Amino acid sequence: MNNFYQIEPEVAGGVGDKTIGNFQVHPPIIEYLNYEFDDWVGDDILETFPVYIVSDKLANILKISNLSGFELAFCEVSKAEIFHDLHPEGLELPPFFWLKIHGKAQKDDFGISEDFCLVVSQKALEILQTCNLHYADIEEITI
Amino acid sequence: MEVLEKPKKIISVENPKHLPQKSTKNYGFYWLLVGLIFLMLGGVFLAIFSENTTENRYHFLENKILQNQELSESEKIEFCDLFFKIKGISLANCEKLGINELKTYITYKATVGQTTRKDYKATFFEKYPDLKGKVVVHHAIEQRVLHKYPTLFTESEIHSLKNLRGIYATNHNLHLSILRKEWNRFYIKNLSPTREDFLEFATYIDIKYGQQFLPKTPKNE
Repeated sequence: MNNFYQIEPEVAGGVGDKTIGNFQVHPPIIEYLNYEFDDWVGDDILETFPVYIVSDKLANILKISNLSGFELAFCEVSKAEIFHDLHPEGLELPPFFWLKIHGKAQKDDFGISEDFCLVVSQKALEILQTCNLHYADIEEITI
Repeated sequence: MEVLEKPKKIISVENPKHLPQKSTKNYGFYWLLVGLIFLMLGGVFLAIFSENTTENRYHFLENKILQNQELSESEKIEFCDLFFKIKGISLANCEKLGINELKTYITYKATVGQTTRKDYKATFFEKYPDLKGKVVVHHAIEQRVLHKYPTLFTESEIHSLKNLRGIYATNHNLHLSILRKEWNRFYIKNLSPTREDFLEFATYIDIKYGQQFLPKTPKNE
């Protein structure tokens, strides 16, 4: 039996000014994503509702995996003013990709549940755990 | 003289159909069902009753605090327990809190003010010059609201002193990461957040994490 997990990844910032989308609907529909970092504590998968992004390291692993329910797309990354306040000495960010989830929760490897949470399969979780996943809250889904 | 008795009804033993028959229907299931229904009704009644009791008890203690009546140590602990049950916020060192502090937790509401200055850090450090170098300044209601929900707040309100919080420079990343997760949950849950929703959630954050802010929130003003 395949186990599924609900994941609440690190939230490193929010949608920046260059984001194009409709926030009058729920969940908001994003057409162009500008992820603006407030800080980064190092995880390779990040969230800001309703989007997820992954570092290039994780993106490359996902690309060669046979996991279902996602696609990778371009994401513009920027740093908010508070990011520079928190890291006056500078902190380099790796490239990030937009992880677009279109799978069905508890069916595909990546899916979004009815309450808008990320749900991944055991196989997907194991792949995510090969990278940094220290600040994500992970909970097994029990039926 | 022999009196003849009236013959009794003759029951044939050969034909047991004439004997009074014991019902073969099993009523156990129906009794079980009735029992279950009663149990459920009892549970619902108990839940409503205990909720009312919790609410009533909370309001009783709340009124006592608002009327400046001193609470015993056990009442303070009980109040904080009820505060957690109702508002989801755990108050630290409850038995040591004074009546004014408890009153502040009840009455506190996060607000925004007005400013003509966009340089919010200058606004904050002008008011709290001693905190320069000790804290990073962040917005209680984030700046991105201006882009996401442009009709709810003005730039002047978002950059006003009342909307600014100082976060300890040490361990800041952990604190801020927790706050961002909290706000993310707010966005997930709120279909179409109003100005009041934002202020209410900022109040919740201020009470829950206010001990990690400099100056601490809520503060007695």
